[in-house]
Parts: sequence; C-alpha cells; structure tokens
Amino acid sequence: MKRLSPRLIVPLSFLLALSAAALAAPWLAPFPPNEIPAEGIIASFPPTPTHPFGTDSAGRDVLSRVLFGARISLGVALLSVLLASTVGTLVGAVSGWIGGVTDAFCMRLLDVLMSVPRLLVLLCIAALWGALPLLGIVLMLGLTGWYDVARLVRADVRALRSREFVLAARATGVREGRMLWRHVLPHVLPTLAVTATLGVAHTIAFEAGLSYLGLGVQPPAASWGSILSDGTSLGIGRWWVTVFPGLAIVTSVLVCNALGDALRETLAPRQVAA
Amino acid sequence: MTGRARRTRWSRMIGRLLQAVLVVWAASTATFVLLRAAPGDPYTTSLDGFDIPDSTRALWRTQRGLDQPLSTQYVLWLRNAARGDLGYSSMLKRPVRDVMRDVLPRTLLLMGLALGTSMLLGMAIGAWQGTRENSTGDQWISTASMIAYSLPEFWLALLMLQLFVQWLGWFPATGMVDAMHDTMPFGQQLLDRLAHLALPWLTLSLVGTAWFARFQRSSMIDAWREPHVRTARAKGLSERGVRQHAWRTALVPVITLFGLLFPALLGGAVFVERVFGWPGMGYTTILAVGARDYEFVTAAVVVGSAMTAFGSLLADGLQQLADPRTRVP
Repeated sequence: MKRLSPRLIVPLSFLLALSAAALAAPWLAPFPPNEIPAEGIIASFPPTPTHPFGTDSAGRDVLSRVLFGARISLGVALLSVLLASTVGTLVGAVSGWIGGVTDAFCMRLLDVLMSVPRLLVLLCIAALWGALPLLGIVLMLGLTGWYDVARLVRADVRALRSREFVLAARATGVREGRMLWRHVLPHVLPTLAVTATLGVAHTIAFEAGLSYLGLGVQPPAASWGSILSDGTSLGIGRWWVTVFPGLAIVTSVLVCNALGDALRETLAPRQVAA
Repeated sequence: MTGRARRTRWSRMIGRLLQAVLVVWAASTATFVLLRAAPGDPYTTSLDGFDIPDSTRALWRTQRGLDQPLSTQYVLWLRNAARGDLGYSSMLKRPVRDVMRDVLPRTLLLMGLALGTSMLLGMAIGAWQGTRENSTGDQWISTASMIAYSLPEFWLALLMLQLFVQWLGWFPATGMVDAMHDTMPFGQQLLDRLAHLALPWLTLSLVGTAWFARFQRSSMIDAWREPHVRTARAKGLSERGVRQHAWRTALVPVITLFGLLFPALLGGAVFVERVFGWPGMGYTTILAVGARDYEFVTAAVVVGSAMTAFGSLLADGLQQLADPRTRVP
C-alpha cells in the first residue's frame, strides 16, 4: 500500500520517538536540567560516562538539558505552527471564498507582510519587548508564520469554489459557511498537512536561531538553541555544548522535512487545484 | 512585437515597480509606528543604570524630535527618508545613512557571492540529478541535500568555527580583516580578506546550494517528461542536446526561487554574520536591537524589505525573459 511507504513510516516513527523522549524527559534525564553541582568545582567537562553529552559552563548535565529542551523546542514549534495554520486557513479560506475586493485587499496585505524578512520583524519585536515569556514567543512565531498557509489555502479554495460538487451543494441550498466548512475545507487538508509539517521544521530551526541570539526562550526555560548558545559564550572550545543540542535540532528539522516531502508525495495536494 | 504589446509590457513593469515602492512604504510605516508608539525610547531603556539627569534625557529627546507628536515625527521621518536621510544611530553616534553605507556592501558582498555560488552549483547538481531520477547517485545526493537543507545556518557556522578555526586553525576566527591588515603588502591583503570571507561564504553557500539543487531537480524531472523533450529525442538529438532542451524549460521555476531566496538568505546572513563577527548589516542590526537603537532597526527593516520587494521584481522580470508564456501578449 502506497500510504504506508517507508518514506512515511521512518520519519514518522522518528518524530514519535522524539516526542516520547520529550514527554518522558523527567524519567529519562539522569539529572535535573538546571541542577548546578553542589560540591566540587563548577566546570565544563567533555563527555564522560556519567555525563554522556558533557556539562556546560555552569556544570549542568547537557544530556538532561537536551531532553528537557525538547519539550520547549518541539512544544513552541508545534503550538506556533498550530496558531499559524489556524490564522492562515481562516484568512486564506475567507479571502478565496468571498473573492472580489476582500480577496484583493487580503492579497495586497500579504504582499506587504511577506516583503519584510521575518527575522527582521522578530528582531523589531525583540527590540521592543526584550525578554518575552514562552507564550509570547509562540504568539510571535505563530503570527509571523501564517502568510504561506494563507496563500496556499486561498489558491486551493479558489480552485475548489467552481467545482461541480460545490455547485451541487449550493444547488441543494447548503448555507455558505457550512459549504466552506464541510465541502471545501476538507479538500484543503492535504495542503495544510504538508505546509504545517514543513512549517514545524522551519520553526524549530528559527526558534533555535533566535534563542541562540538570546532573543528567544529566556532562562530558566531552555530550548535547544539557548542550550547551545552556552557553548560559545566564553569563547570557542566547548564543542560538546554546541554539537549535541545542535544534533537534536538538525534531527528534528530533518525528520519534519522528510515527513513533509513524503506527505506531499502521498497526499499529492497539487491535484486539488487541478 | 507590436508597439501596443511593448507598451503594455512597460506599463506592467512600471505597475509592479510602483507596487514594490508601495509595499516598502507600507512596511516601513508599520515598523515606524510599532517602534515609536511603544513605551520607552533609546533614552530611557538603554541608558538605565547610568546616572544621567532627567533634564539631559529630555534635552536629547528634544534634539531628536522625540517630544513631538507621533504624526509630526512620522512626517519628518518620511520627508527625511525620501531624501535618503534615515535618521541618527544612537548606538554608533553616526547618521544611519553613513552606517548603512559601510555595512550594507559587506552584507551584499556576502549574499551576492553565496547566491551566485549556490545558484551555479545547485543548478548543476540538480540538473544532473533530474536526468537520472532515482539512480543511486541521485538518491545519495538527495539525502545529502536534504540534510544540508535542514541545517540551521547558525549551527553550521558554529561547526565551521569549531572545525576550521579551533581544531585545524586554517582560517582566522572573526571579523573582516586581520589586525595587521594595513601593514601587509597588497597580495597578502587580498589573501587576508579571502581568508576572512571563506567561512561565512562557505556556510551560506552550502545551505543555498541545497535549496537550488532540490528545486532544480524537481523542475528538471518535470521538464524531462515534457512532450517537446520526447520529440527532441525522437528526432535523434544527442542526449546532450536533449538535456539542454529540458534544462531551458526547467530553468523557469528556479528563477522564481531566486526571488524567494532573497529574504531567506538575508535571514541566514544575519546569523552567519553574528557567528563570524562579520560587520555587515545583519550583525549591526543585532547589536542595534540590544542597544534599542530604533532608528537603525527601522532603517534595517526598510532596506531589508526593499531588497525583498526588488528581489521578487527582478525574479519576475527574469522569468519573463526566460519564459515567453509569462509575457503579456
């Protein structure tokens, strides 16, 4: 069966394993993530059997921090993509369904929003508010991440609007809102699934970058990006603090990208527009 | 081409140009309002902890016009911006225009080199793959470009720093030139510049190459199935000639990527500049954010969105050159 090809199964199981590791962090992690050793000198050690990923500049166990960081990194990415998909679907569907002036206005608005590089917008927000709470970061990433979703959903909705089954539904007197919700939007789901999966990949990397710059997740909470920023805070040298959280980032981004590609092939969202 | 067709094409290009200008104006206005309307200004927040009397802060505000109503400030800012005066950087104590004149070429150099390299390499790799879909070589390269495509630029840059600077010592760590640059003979100066440029360039190009290769591969696969390619082969054209036929069709979607990649590359450049201490616009913007230098940040948004808007305009024009079907009839 095509739907269960290994191209889909492999990244999916990796993703499940990553999420399971994030959820089970309190049981898997050998140390509390923010524990600074009470006795002895606080120092950053390369990997040892007790600390397989080494310790950071405050003597904290990097493995434990990476496990707990998975909760923040994956959680922030998932929630903000959820927000972005919701806003994007809403704007795209309404714009594509109503058409006319509303549609033209939404599309020009999108032109403006898309022309500002996302990183610069986020830098502006960081300049204004400085340290944002976790919820703020989810909002910030979600509210700057919906433009592509809106574009794609609008294109699908516009193509679907004139299809026969929609005409048939209209002829039988189905109300507009219900028609959009029950007859049109289900056909947009493949597009949404692919965009959202790729969006998660992008957002994980993006949030990591922001947190690396110190503009994302603030201590004591730590995402993978903030954990690895400690690897260079006092000059170069602690490669383990840079490498291991980074590998976690790359693995999850890669897995989501692979899953997105596989979904695109399996669901073939392009045939919606045909 | 008839005179009327030429006129419509020109009016369309002018329309697009006006639209790009409008987009940049709207984006910069939004940024201006966002940054100015928020509580606090450079003279409250960034100077906390310094013993500066309120009267001095008030004087500074008057000098910078920050005590005026927002609408007055906006009109003034817009009038100045239209003349190319982008304000005064409170962080660097210099006009923003002068700072931009220093830092923007450095970013453009980095981005231009990276864009050129990744375009050439990525298109060559992707085209090679596209004609050999699902061969062993194609699968290996696809996996490699998938990984490269998933690498966050800042982490790749940190790895480069660790490997080539810390462990191998092949390249200098940060900055644009060595401290002794001015005392070097010309040849050595050139080498010094190249050595400082190498790692940021390599980092940005690697990710960009993966982008282009992925895109070119899929468009080449599509083009490979086109009837005109089959016809070319049936007519007895050499494989090389067939590839050229297909490549021309496959070129069009890749050109649109050029416009899309601009903002992505600008974001990547910010991180890469930060890691390698490359004193370009991205690095300066990060510093300006820390110092609450709103006038520089606003200018960076204006420049960044202008680059994006005109990047997509350029892609549009190039696409019309490459593909007659997208031209106005």
